[in-house]
Amino acid sequence: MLYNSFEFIRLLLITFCLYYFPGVGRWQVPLLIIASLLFYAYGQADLLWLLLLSVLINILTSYFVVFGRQSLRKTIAICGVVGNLSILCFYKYGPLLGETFFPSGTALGEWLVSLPLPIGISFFTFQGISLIVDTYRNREVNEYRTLIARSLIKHARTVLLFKAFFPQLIAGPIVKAHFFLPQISPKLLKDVQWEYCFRTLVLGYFLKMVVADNLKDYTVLMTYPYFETVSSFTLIALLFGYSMQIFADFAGYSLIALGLAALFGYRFPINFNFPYMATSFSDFWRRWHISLSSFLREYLYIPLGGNRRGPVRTYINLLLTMVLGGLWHGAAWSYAVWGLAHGLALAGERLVRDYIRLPRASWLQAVKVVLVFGYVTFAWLLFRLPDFDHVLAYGRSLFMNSRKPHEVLSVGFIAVYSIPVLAYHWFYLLRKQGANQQALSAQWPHLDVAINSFMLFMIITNSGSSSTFIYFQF
Amino acid sequence: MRKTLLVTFLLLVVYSSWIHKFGHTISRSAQTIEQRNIVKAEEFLYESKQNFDTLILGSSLSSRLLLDSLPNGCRDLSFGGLSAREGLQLITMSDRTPKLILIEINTLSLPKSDFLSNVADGSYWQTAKKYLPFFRQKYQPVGVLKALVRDWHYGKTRTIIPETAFRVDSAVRQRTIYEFTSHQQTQADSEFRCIFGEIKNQVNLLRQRGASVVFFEVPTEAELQTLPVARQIRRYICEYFPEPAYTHIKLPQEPYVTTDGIHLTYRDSGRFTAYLKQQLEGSMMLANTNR
Repeated sequence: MLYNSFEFIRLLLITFCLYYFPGVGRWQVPLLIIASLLFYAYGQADLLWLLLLSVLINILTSYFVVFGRQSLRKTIAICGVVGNLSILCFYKYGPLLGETFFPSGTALGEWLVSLPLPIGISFFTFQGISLIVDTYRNREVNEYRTLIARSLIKHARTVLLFKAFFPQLIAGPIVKAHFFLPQISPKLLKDVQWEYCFRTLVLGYFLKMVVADNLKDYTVLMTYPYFETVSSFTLIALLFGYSMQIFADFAGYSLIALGLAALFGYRFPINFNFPYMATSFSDFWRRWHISLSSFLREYLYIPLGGNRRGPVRTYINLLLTMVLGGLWHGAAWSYAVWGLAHGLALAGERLVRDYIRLPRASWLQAVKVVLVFGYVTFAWLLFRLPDFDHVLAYGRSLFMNSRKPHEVLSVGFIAVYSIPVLAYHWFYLLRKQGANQQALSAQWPHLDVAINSFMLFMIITNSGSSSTFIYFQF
Repeated sequence: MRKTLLVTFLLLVVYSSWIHKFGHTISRSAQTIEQRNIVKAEEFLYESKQNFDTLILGSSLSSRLLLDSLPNGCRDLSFGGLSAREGLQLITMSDRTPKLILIEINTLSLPKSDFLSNVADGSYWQTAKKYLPFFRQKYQPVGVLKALVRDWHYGKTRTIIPETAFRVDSAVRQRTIYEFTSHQQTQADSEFRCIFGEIKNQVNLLRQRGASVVFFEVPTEAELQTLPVARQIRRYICEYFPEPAYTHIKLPQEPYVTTDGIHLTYRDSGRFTAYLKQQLEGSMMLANTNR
């Protein structure tokens, strides 16, 4: 169910009205659970059982990690994590393994290749792992223990909501248990922060429906064999456009998720923080898909040893984390290469930083922003073209197609639809230079209203053809 | 929030007034092929002032025909990447019936797209589009801006022919031919019977509403015209719509040049349009429609 579909709006309105209906207080959580399951089942009813199985594993393991026999707690936690990962590996990577290791025509190979990809599996699996690990780590901390209800039914309800809450069910943000569980309590209509919800939803829908959905119609030229017919300049413009599109798509989705959750009284952490202004690769990963990068750091990089076991081990840990992070995005080797490219960039950056001390001049910061953006943008090619041969062919065309015709109109539209993303990042510069929100409002008192009205007007009149969010496939 | 909603409402009112006053001067505002298809369909459904005697249904192959060379009242309802089936569905859904319908047969074997569900799904969304034109794709501000800039730059009356209509890309042409000829299979007869059964029902309905129907084929590269699937389509056309009950315009004998293997060059589009016109006149169809 798309966030901009009539079906979703209908579901949202009904759920919202019932949720705050007087006297419904104690039914709020079950109501959200039912709405979330309907939301999931609308897209993939036949795989709803898998979501429920995953939830069941997490309910039982997290419960017995706290209330089970002392000597078995570690084993239970490990079993829970392995259970979560097994479901993810089987459904997500089964087809890739089938393609890679079983010759076509064999029954097992074909069966593996034909496995369906459950929507949002990567997200709800990671949330499950977060629940088990957080619970295991904090099993002796009183404050956290109180979040795990003594009654198994009550605990099941909490976990079901945590994993299936519809604003974040399909494409995140990946909310950690220690962040979400304390928020589960009765909510009142008067506590809804309408202004926050409205702004977040308008910006989110604008980025998704106006920017990303329109850009996708031009970046389709990046697919094989179309890219072979256009000029090198057009190919660079397309890469730039895709970089803008993927940001608008995912940041837009995350903002919508934040706004929707806030309507029901829940807060999610921000997922994007002006990523294209990053001055280093580590800075980029602190700004892009923050919930994933912090998950990888907290639950993978640090347990692997982080940077505590010497430089060589640090580089290996970085590479391993990023390759696995890349594979998390999709079951294709190009995603692993994408992760490796980022891992190499992070490792290289650390190596340079260890030996060379660069001055903090502002021109150098600008150069760094351009370099990081350029590298990140070229790396998106591995996202757009999961077939590695096509990536190489695109790279070749970048050099060979200088005499091919320019797609002037497409380049023009890419430029137009990229303006909002650039303006959004420009706002970061203003903020960095000390022009905070209040100062801007004082200087242009109606700026906020003008921007929000313009965005709402464009959502109504200039939305692109609707499509799923890019991150739904992960 | 209230201020924002109020200002947005005002913006919509102002824009609606602008569309009401100047909307008829906007043309070719679509930004992509998909959008061009939707704009065509929406114009057909909602702009009731537009008159036409002849409708051309087909794919991007037909959209290159030079309508200026055909008599007034001839309108192109062909959709890029799709087939005449979508056009037929659109006419049967609407209450408008042209006097003559020209159906391009080249791409009839393509699976039917669901793009019409975005245009005319019979819901309140369709009603909203009918009465509030700013919901239509044609009036998307960025597209309108494009149209205004283009008209200002090139002049309103000038027809702009895309560069691609002149450029013969031999490499692409060869590859297209190779890709088509390497798939020599025909489609399953059951599938074809289903497709042609549906077309037959729609055609009969339109004939009952007073329309004449003519089938034609746009020339492509010689190698592609003899593909098994192309022969299969011709065979089914003859079986389901036999002459003389239905009019068929045969492929011209002379070779035609394409830019990419399937789409005619601008010059040859003109040649084929002239041929089509001559054949139609020959079969007295135009005479009937011009009565």
